[in-house]
Amino acid sequence: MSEILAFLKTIEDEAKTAIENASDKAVLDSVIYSYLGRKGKLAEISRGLGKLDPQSRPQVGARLNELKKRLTDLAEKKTGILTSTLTSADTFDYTLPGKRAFVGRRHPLMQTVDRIVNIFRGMGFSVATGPDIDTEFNNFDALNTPEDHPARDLSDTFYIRKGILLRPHTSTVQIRTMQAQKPPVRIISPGRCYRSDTPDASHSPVFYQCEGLFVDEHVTFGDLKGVIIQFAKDMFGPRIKVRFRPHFFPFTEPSAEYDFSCMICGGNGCRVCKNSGWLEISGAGMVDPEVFRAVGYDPDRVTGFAFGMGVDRITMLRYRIGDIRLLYENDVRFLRQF
Amino acid sequence: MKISVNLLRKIIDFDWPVDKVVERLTMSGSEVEAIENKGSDIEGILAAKVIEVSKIEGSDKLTCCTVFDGKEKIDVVCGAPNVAKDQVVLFAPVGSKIPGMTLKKAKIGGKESFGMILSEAELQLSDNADEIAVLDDSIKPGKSLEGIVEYKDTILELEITPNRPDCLSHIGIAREVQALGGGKLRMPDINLNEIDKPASEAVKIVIDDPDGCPRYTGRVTRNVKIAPSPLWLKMMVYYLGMRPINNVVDITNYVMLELGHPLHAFDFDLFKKPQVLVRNAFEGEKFITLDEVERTLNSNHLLITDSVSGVAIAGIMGGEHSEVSEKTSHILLESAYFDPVTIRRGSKALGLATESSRRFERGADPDMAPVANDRACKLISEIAGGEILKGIVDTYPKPFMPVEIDLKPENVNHLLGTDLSPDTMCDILNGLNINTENRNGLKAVQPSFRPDLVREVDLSEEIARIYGFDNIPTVFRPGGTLGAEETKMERITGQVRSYLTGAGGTEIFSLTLVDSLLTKRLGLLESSVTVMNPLSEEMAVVRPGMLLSMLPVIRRNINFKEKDLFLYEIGDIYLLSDKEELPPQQNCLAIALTGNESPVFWGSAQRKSDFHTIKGLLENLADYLKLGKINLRPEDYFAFEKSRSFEVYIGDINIGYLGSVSDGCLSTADIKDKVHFVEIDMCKMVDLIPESITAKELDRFPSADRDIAVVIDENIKAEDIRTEIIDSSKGLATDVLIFDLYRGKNIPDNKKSLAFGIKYRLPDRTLTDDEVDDVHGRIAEALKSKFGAELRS
Repeated sequence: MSEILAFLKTIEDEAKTAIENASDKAVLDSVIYSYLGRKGKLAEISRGLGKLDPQSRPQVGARLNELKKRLTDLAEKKTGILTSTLTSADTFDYTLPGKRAFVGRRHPLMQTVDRIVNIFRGMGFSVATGPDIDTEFNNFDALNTPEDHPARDLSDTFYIRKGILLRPHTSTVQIRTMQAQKPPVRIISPGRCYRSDTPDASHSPVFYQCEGLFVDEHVTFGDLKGVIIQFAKDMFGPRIKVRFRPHFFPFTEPSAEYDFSCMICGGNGCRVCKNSGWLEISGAGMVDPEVFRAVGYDPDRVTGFAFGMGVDRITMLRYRIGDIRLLYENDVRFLRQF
Repeated sequence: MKISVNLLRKIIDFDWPVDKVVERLTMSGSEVEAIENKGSDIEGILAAKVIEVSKIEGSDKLTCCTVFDGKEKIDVVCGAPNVAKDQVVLFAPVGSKIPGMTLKKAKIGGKESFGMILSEAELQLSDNADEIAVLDDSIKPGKSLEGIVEYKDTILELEITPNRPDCLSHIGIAREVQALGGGKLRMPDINLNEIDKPASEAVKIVIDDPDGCPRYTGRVTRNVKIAPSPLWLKMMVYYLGMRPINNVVDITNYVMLELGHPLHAFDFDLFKKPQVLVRNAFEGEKFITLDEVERTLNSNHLLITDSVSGVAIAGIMGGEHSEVSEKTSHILLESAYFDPVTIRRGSKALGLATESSRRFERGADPDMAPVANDRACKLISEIAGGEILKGIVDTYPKPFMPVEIDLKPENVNHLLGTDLSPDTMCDILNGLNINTENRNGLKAVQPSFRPDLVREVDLSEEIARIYGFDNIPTVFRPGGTLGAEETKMERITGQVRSYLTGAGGTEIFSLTLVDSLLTKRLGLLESSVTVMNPLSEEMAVVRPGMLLSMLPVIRRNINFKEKDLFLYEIGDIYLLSDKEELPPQQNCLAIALTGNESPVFWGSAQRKSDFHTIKGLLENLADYLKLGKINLRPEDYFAFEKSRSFEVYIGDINIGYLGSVSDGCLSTADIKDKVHFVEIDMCKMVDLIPESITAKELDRFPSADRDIAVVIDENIKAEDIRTEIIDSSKGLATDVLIFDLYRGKNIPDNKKSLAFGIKYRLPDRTLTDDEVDDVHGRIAEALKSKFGAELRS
């Protein structure tokens, strides 16, 4: 008996599909005829009932009637649809939303790091990394920072214990790289940095920096300008202008601060650039001979430049983000925009 | 540092407009941070004489005055207590402008008032708002304010870098302007009229600590008259950011701002002995400074004494006792040079920074000490009267020894990428008053006002910044490579990020400083790296695990009704170690799931993420990275539910842990929803990923597919059954998938039904039905005997 019931199920599936798929009245009629007609498949099965054993005959008969009823109903409904003015295109609601998965996002800061890395890689720089927690020697001594420089104060820098601290810049990576390899060196070092700044719209005690270092024979201040200008154009477009202003850092000589023309107002002056047309980006300069001595390089043989940049600042300029804390709060409503 | 353009023009003639000065100073290293136009909103103010004052009835303060402005008499109501007949005052008639208002006729205290008698504060010439400004009697009524004082000025706010103490003065900035081609510097007048009595007889100077005080000069002036400063002096001191006090104090401040050298005036009559003794303070010595605070000194502080007791903390602040007051008539004017480190440490130990300490700690000019003293005494004698005793008492035990610097022009050009001639370099340095000669290379002598210039490279910077960074040719080198290829770690990290983002994950970047209370409650504080001097307890621990920074992010988002989260982060954790100098740092991947697996859809119900969702995610990632099969081994992890806490293994290597965060941990973090979490050690994982992939040939013969369903005890793990199927198939079962797990009707209690779909296959031919029947049967037997499994048909 189970076989005949399974057969009925197969017939039902076939018939349903045929009815559903009928594209016009003529096709539907022929489907109806072939299943429900006097010479149709159901009639044929009905005729064969007599051959079944008497016990199962009523049950199969009942199933057959149910099936006939279901198919007839379905065919009538379909006839209604086909004879109405509605086409299947009308009844198919493509405006219902698609079946979606969650959309993933990259953090804007990390997207910016990737972009920066790609740009410098194109200029022959490789990526170097180092630990967030490092020695005072790598953080200050080797960088020609005087012993009583305020950057070493507990009020400026987080210490783990005496002589060990959370790096306030990634210059430690420059020192580690130069200690580990001979010139030439051409690296960038992106990474987290730490300073004892109370969080506000433009300060975060944990922030993200990227520094660069290029040491070789015959590296000049002109090369430094070239690399920074190229970076600016790649990052913010060909119309960006760069200016270098003399400044002071213990680890570079000459030292410069570099500014980009304001990408928000095009250099005409706006609230973001405080009407100056320029946005201060970061510091740069020619590596001080004392730094070379600290890592065992011969300052008479090699020259080099180093530069820094706040990746958070670049990210904020890139996406017009007004508050640095947004980058570190990880509110998905914010992250969803990138 | 505030610079008055008017004062600057007194020291150097230049015809640049202000915006050019701003541009040139900024581009040569003294960045102009703000520009203030003083007096631009003042118009029509003039001197007037008060000719009549009468009280207004019913008012304590108001008086009705009649003033004469040189042409006519005008009635005006005045509220100042010091107004008096015959004073020459500053008067704003109707129609004139003062900052914030245009004068109109008004009715005050019932009287008509046609203008206003002004205080200095109302014109923003000083902070004196208590009384009206009273001018010198000699000023004629009707004289315009322009004729009385040069009140229209431009004040530039400069950012001076710490290596340039010389630029904390107008003379220093004038020197910059001179080097930039703006004109020629000239020193202010210091020609004095001295009386015959020698100062050396009036005062002795003894220096106990010549390292701390290499030079001390003193001048004595008798019979001065202490009074408020003339308007121009008050105004200049005020414009430059200091408070006018009295004529002598204002002069010392003015000379400091002009020449950069801090000075101190003592009331010499209050000296117990006419002898200055510069000595180290005693440990714990008390001293009351002129701000009326009792300070406790240590033995590193340098104290100026009258050989009996202290009169000033050297270079930082004078004492209350010997302060110049209205009663003062004899003045000892100190102009010394103190050691920068001594002053810096002293100032720091006291927590007291002053205009004076700021200059000394950066490095004052030892040779400016007598010049500044002369200059101030000249102004004192002109403004406060008095007789200057003959000669300056100058004790100079440790004279300044300038460094002679050899400069090779080729080195400069080599560093800068320029092609400057030695003459050009020589001119630039001389423009900065760095005496330089061009003979077989350049020879420069360090000026006493430039402690920062001792090496060739220091002079290279001077040349570069005056020549102009903008004028240095920019070089664009071709890229080239120096091993700039990606490391495997970088490459895989990128793949992980792309995969997880594509799978719907949101990358986060959280702070590595985490809450010490949360860390403590989770029992991790003892084993964590902590910050010695944290900003707050919320940021006092360097995170020992990614979960510590992940949980607060989850809480924040849930609080903002973002409950369906799939977050991931690649970052570092920090471990405590006794053995290593630096706490080891581990790069980790963390993934957290909470809420629904997918967005709401009209066609089907949403499903919650659960343990198997995160497991599947990790399995997919492992598959994508060709990492190999993920195995979980039960292991109690502090944050996870006991039954859902595992270490993640690839082969025998533990690469992290995975589980469902326990209710206890969640409530500690104040999260109500279930969170599922995995943390993977990136280095270990990356090491396990094969460097290359070899493509396999595809199966050429069809598989025979059979299902098997078994009923087994609840405690038997699906993976054990699956492994047995593979093992007992003798290599014929190439794919075994679990497609159903069923409990309930027709299955006894404490049992479950598991259904497997098996693909049997040989690489070189098609299996026969008999062979398939045989192996399928053998598997059924093996499951029966090993696990007591019952076959389910």
